[in-house]
Amino acid sequence: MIWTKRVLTTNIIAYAALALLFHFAVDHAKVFDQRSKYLLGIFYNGYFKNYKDGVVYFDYMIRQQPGDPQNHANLAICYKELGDTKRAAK
Amino acid sequence: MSGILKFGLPFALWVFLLRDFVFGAIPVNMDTHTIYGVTKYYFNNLLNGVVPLWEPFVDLGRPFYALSICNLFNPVTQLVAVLKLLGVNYYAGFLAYLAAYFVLGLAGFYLLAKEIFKDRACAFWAYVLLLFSGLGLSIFTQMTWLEIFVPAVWFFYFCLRFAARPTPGNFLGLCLSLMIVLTSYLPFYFLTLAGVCLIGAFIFYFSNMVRFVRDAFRFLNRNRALAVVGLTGILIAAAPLAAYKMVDASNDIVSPGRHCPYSSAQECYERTMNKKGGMLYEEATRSGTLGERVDLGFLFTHLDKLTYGSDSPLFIPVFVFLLVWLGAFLRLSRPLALILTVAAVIALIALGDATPVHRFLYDYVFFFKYFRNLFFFSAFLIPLLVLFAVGQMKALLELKLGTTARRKAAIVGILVLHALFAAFLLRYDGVITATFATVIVSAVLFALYYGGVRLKTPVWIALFSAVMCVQPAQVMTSYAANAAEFKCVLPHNHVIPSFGWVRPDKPQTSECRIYQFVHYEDFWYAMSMTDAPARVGYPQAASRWVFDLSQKTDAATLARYGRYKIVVYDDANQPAIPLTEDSAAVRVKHFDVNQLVLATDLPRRMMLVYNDAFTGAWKVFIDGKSAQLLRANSAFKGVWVEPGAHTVAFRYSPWGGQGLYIFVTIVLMAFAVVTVGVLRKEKT
Repeated sequence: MIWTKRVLTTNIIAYAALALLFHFAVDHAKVFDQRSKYLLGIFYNGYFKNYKDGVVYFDYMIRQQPGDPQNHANLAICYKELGDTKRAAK
Repeated sequence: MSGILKFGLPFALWVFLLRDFVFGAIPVNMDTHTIYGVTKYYFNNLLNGVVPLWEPFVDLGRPFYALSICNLFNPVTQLVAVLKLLGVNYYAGFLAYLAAYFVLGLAGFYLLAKEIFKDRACAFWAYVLLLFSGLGLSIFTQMTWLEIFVPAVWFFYFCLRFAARPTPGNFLGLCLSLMIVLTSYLPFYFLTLAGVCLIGAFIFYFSNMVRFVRDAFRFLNRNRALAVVGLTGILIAAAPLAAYKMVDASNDIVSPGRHCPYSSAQECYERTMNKKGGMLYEEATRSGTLGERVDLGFLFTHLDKLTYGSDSPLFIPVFVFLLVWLGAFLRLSRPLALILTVAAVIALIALGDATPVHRFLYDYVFFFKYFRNLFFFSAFLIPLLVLFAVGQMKALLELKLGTTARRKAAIVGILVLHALFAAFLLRYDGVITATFATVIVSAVLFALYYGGVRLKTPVWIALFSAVMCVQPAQVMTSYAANAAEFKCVLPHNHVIPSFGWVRPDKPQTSECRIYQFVHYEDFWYAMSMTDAPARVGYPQAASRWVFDLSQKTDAATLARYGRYKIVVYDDANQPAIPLTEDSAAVRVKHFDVNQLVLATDLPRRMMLVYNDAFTGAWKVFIDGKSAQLLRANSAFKGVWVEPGAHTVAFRYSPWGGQGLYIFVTIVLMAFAVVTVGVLRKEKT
């Protein structure tokens, strides 16, 4: 009984509860839509492309849609533009 | 002396890392640029002897609506004017104010952490972690975070102090914090946080809260005069916001102006016409949510690629996450449970329409219709996370490890947890070196600590503080390097505005890249007190009539007509006679941003039109007597003038007038002086 209480009052139980709460309460598709639009907007902000923002954007897209080869290709272009040929080749 | 060194060293490192921003080589950007524009315009005019209520230079004239929401009446903000009087330019003065206000927030956060944890080392770590967090990084792009954070942190500090000792000083501190909340920015972020904290406190500390409420009422009953003073102060501080709301509700301006292009001009126009306040739900959540600005991977990856084009460097030092993880198997204490709950609820609200929480609040809590940019809640989320982490740090360092076996177990445990954290980071591409370095050094330090290595407490504090700074140092260095392309000089000289008879055809060009980056040119014109071309680009608080005209006429026609500021007519439907300079017929006697006084000597009765936006708060006087102000040519101000010599004065006179803002500033300063005096007396 004491052990049960001890386990249930540890931080990790609270973290797990929060993770579950956020998993079920959040519409992840909507968040993805908002975040991707925002990052794309930052990448193409105003009159120029910033490849550092491009890396952040396409890396995010790869994490969300790993199967889309276009994102990998675009990320490689951004790295190449930034002079990071090693990462671009990867 | 040691205190100055202790707090000064991390701050000196922060200044060094961000020196290009702090010393003005890289100009402030995004919302901080807006706030600088407003601050410069306000103090420049104030030092000319005028409290600016109108902006005649942009959008063909519009109310200076930002007057009430940019922290201008705060005693600390007056530093800009003081420094200007001492010969420092407006931009340098603004940066000094920015740094001073940040320090004030840090001081409040240190004291709050000390009050919560009753531990100086923890409070110091809280100070260091916050200093090197996104809050410290964002002040050059998103000063709004600072504006809502600083009074909130002092409010909660005085709240805890008042709960422990209900004294006049603590009560006055509470009132002053609320006054600053009301005069800084929209108070709705603070109200949300305070509401969540209150509910949380009742859940986690019910008996304490009941006692707190009882003691507070007892205190107010015993100190009725003080209660009246506090309440009066709060009401006075609310006056500029009330004036703002009255302009907003006057049916005279586009409101909420900046959201019009997001919905439709027609809808915006109708909402303004029908005096419907607030935003549609789609407008309140369409952009600016927390989910839009941050994702889990973003917290750890590509931190060397944070650019100056983003106004949300939601950076949290990795040591914070490490502490949260290391404390995973410790018992959750009540204060930390409360902090975690508040942070979680605030995060859910900040996610906007991605959760049902915000929709519920929008439907049932009135003020949720009046603000968007929910990612501003980061100004509370970052400090809450830091407090939680510091609480974990305290628990980790206070573990009782009596026997050697327990020490060994603790060392193994801490090393395994660090290894697991490093493995989690390795999942991501683009994690910077300093992040891994922090994890490794942290593992070594904790192992040494649990191993019983004997060092003096200040040495441990210094070592752990150093670990906290490793990753932020790399992030800040990269951030400054990435922002170097923005180097330029913003308008900073004192200007005495002069009346321009003709608006320019083409926009002025500035070398500053930030003006190519975001559409903030309006603030450049306001700061320079130079006329913009006759157009309505970004209808932020533009006069409704001008906005209406801009929707009904093409840009070229509007530009052609609005080019001339003063036009006279013989009669309605007669051709306009534009005036382009002082003449015997019409001469400028006086001009400031709130009024235009003309000396006229017309040959016959004529309609004199001032091509500056009409609103109901404008008045016209002929030879000192009130005359009928007409809305001329759809959107502008006109008056019939008889032949012969007359003085025609157009004056902008909204509710409260100029005196309101001077009065509020004086009250806030007096309240601050009295509060500090009472607190010092109580201390001694």
